[in-house]
Amino acid sequence: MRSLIAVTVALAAFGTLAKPAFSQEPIKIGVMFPYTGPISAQGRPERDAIKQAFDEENNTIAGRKIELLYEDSTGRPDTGLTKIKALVERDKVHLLLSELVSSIGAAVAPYVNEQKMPWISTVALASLTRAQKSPYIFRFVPSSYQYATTAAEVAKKMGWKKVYFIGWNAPPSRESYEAVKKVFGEENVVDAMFPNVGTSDYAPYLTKMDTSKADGVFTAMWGADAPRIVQQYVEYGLNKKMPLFGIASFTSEELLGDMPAASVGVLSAYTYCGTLDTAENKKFVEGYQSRYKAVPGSYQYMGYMAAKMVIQAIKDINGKVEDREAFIAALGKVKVKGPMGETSFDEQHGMVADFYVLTVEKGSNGQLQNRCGERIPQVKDPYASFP
Amino acid sequence: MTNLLPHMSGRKFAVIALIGTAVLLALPYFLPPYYLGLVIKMMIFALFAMSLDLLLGYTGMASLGHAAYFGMAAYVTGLLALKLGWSVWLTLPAGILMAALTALLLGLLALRTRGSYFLMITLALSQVVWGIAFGWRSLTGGDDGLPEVPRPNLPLPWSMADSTPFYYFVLFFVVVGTLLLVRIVSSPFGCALRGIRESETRMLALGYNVWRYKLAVFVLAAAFAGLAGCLYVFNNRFVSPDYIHVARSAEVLLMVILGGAGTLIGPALGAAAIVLLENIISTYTERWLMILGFVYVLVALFTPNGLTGLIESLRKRRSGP
Repeated sequence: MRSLIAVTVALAAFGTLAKPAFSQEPIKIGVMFPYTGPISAQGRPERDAIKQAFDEENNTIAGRKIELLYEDSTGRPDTGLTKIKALVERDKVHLLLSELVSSIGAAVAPYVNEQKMPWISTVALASLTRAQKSPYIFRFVPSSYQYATTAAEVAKKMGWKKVYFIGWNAPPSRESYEAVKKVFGEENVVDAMFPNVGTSDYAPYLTKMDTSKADGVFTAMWGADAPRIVQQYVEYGLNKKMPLFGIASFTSEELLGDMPAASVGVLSAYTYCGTLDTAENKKFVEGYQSRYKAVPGSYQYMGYMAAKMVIQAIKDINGKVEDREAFIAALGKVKVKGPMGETSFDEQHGMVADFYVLTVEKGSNGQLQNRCGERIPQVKDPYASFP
Repeated sequence: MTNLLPHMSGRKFAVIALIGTAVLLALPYFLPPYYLGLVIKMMIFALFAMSLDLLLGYTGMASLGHAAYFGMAAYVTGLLALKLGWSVWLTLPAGILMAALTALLLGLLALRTRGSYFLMITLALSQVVWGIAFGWRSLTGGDDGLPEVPRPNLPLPWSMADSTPFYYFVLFFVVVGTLLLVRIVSSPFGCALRGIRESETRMLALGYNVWRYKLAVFVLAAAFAGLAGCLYVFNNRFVSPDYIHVARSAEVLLMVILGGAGTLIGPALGAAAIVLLENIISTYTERWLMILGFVYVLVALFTPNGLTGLIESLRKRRSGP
């Protein structure tokens, strides 16, 4: 009897030794976005695209299963922080692939840094790679300074000399204005206007614009406000004399459905262009369309590619995500060729990616789409101009 | 003490309070850190809801702008701790004082109205405070708020960055706050407030200066909301305009109504229930707002006196007519 027990114990011990400890447990990834509230229209599609990226790997990387744990940040910073704590302390995730709201990003960053928890965010908050930078935080989305500087430089190359600026009375628009001022010089900004988020009538602002005084208008507002200002801009006939240049994802694919037909010709410069003809983009767009019956835009692209970066980093360390230092070192070096070209992180963990000049046009099916113009290769966050 | 739960004898209350305190003191020993964090959040919101109940339940004034004082104290505490590095013994009173002063100022305007007009004007005034926090970017950080506010640094062997010592820190202030609130509502001043709730004109006829009483309770309620706001900054280590938003004022109003206005334990229960529901259900389903909505509807339909009303009616049924 005693020997039988000994044999059993020995076998059991052998069993646990034979299997490498790390390959049994799944890799747990915390995916927190706003799934309810006003920003859920961006949060849910981005999560869907992240799911798509992991499904393309059959949810198994380097022999380990992937488990995505979802939490709803509701778009509020204190709730977001509580939910991140739930993922880290209760669910013991190995890494976070989360969030797009800048106020939540600012609230979560100190906690994530303290916990030494790898966090790949799509929060366009410039401070994440500046004042709040951390070896554990990666920002896979251009910062406000990065996208606005690029937009301003494109417009300057097109021959713009004097400009108007209209944007939300909110941090990303204010920072965009700083970038426009830097590129054009303050004396060349005829007027800068900052209506509140959700303003329904832009007449007081648009009537102030004098087409003889400027070459074009920069606008930095997004979501439902973007189609609204385009509609009114066209109604006032301003588009015939002064082109409108949207900053960042102003003409993102998911918004084009709400844009008026007359918005053909609206410009922007950003990291995603839906009609770009590459094999990777075709796979992304068709995969997303067949799953979710919608055209993916820039938010989906960020989620999809952020997931691809994580997948490549996990492969590079052979699935050993328990070694966080090795994981963040690998992620810092990852280069992935995606739908829009190669993407990577700079030394402060900001996104490095190709930008494209986009022009809204009417597609062959009568729907609005983005025409992909000049490619601006490997744009980095301008740390030197905006420390 | 009968105001804590209606129809409860002093001795029974003492027993319940003792058991409750013992459980709260022992919690860190069997709760993992995340759940302890949820309890901290529940306690802070319990204090916040009880402070609003001073207005809504005891004086009959429905304010839809109570988050203004919560947020004002949070900003003052956060700014002083972050930018000037003041110790908690200065930032906490400064936050509470600022909340009370703001209430004094806004109360002079708001208390000229009653009923739904009072509701509207408190809402409007709190939006003004929100607008300042949102717009004054150089001071408040605008929409992104102020991150990296340090936890209090006390001359104790335990660091407040750990959840257990911080839990006791919050517990201490919440218990002190609750005891003060109990004292206030059971004092002659509290009786006068209930009198005002029942009939303002009769109180006037009795020679009470009703307006002065209302202003006093408005400022007092703001001070307790301010204490909750200070604790909330230390808990989250950041402050943002979201603290003052009308959605938060509405949330705390719902906590009071769900728990049962006019008792102190009701709002505390309501706060705990809502924090728990929000954080637990939302992990399992995106439709958690719908579930929360159903709970509100059910409470409104079947237990108009809130959770405490439900407990009372169950108790009565068991002991017979």
